[in-house]
Amino acid sequence: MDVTGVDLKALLEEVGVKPEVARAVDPSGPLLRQGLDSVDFPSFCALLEERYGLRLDDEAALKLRTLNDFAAAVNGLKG
Amino acid sequence: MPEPQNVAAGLLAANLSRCPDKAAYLCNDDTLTHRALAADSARFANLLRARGVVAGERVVLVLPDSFAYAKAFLGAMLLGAVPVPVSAMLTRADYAFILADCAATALVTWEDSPAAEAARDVPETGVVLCCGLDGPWGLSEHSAEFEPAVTRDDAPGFMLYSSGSTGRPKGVPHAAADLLGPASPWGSDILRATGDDVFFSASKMSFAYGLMSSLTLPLSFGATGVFFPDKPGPYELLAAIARHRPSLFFCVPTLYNLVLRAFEPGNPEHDLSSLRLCYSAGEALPASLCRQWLLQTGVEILDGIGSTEAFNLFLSNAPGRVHCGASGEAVPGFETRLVADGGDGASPEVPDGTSGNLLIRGPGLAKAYWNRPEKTAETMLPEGWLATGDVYVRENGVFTHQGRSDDMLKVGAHWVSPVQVEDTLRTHPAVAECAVAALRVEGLMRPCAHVVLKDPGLAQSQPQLATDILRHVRGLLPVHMCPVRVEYHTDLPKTPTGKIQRFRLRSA
Repeated sequence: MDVTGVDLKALLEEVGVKPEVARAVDPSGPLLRQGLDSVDFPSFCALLEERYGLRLDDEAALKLRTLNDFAAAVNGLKG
Repeated sequence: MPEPQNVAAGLLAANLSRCPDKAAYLCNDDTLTHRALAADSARFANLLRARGVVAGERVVLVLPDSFAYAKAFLGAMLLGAVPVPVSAMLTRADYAFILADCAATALVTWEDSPAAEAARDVPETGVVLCCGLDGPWGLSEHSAEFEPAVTRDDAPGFMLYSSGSTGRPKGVPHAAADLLGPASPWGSDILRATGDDVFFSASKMSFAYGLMSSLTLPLSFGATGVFFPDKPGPYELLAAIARHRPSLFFCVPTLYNLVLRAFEPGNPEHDLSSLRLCYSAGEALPASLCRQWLLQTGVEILDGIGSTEAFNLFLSNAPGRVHCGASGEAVPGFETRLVADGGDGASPEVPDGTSGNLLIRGPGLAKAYWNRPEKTAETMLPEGWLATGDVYVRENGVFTHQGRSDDMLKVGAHWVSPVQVEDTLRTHPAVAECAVAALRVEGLMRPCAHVVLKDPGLAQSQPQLATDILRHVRGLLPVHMCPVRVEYHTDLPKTPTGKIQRFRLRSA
């Protein structure tokens, strides 16, 4: 089953983003505009790779801005 | 008129004659001309003297990047005192340590700062001057005339602090003339800087990289610098570039990564059209970021490496000759040697394509640490060689960073001592033993916590425990020191004498 941006919100909480910030995230809006900082972003990327057993390409990952972008990347790599 | 021999006086006088009414600095809505900078720096020197500060004494500066910073730094130098820029992000305990370590007689900071509180506990620091962004209250009452002090060439002219492996920062004194080193050939030949340039550094002036790009370069070329007093977030940096239209932007890879993620082409608040060149230092710039930045913004990033001890960039890429993923070639004027572990300047070099410890030699290197003879002996080697602690591979003259020869991590251009992070991790009640080592995420190094739990069963029974440990540390440490991940182990790799081998835990 495909991963959705909403599914990935739980990962934000898991890496230590404050629950109230994580829950309020709009999956289609840039994460950096929604309270994520320079620790949250790499923490999220590292957990995402571990949880889904995949490796995000460094260059492609730089274009991922929203939870929906990340979900699409995960689904593409799983597919 | 004889040439002024005071370095600060020399810089100010040159600009006073060639471009007095040009902006020396821009900050928010305000402009400070070179004429006003010269006058207020002289006033600052008079103010310090009136408060009893004399030549040779240390004046600690804990300020946001601002007009006040430039005036205080140059004013202290005019007096022959030793300005000591220190990060504005430290704790009261850190400031108390630094004030006492350098026996500062004066502190320049903002009202109610943790540094001002710390000064109450340090008897030597009798003078505390509180500043706004423009300078201290009452500065204009002092004379704008000042006879600059002439100090010995080998006396400390300014001093920076660099984090140590035990977590205690160490002072790195430089001769006053070292302040000019980055202007040439790095500034003149690699950056091709001129008086028409506008310099903007996201790296703060308490770091060597920030001081070079915000003070040395704009003043050496009679150009203009942009001060950004706030915490540099990606959207704030983009807005500042669109507003002040710098031609040269100096930043660090962690922030370039965030700025690129935030960048929206076509958004007028993200207008980068003024930039002719970007520079990156502080940590190795990943090849992926180097390429994507050029693709998306159309502006080249030159990566280079310098250090507090060098107060210069000693390896650098050059415009039109960028090797993405590499630190570039030796900057003219610097000699380099790559040697095996334990080697010094007399040791044979490792062959091309083989990892070696980078030693450098050249003008402007610090001769010693402040009151740290053992650390000095380890780093400042015979015949003028300096051990950088960085491991490199060289091929056809191009150097590619391989990591550190010690356990220190460079995260977001800040030094992180694993010891300090481990001490904090151990304050979590579930942690029995731990080690911190680098984890590579998107090509950048981040701290990863390797933890042995007191009760190994908790890893299964409490799935939230890793999150809890991460949150615990984030409440206690600055953001760059916080681990991005917790990995559980049943035991940690150790030497036969029981010392943890952190290098075995690093991710490639």
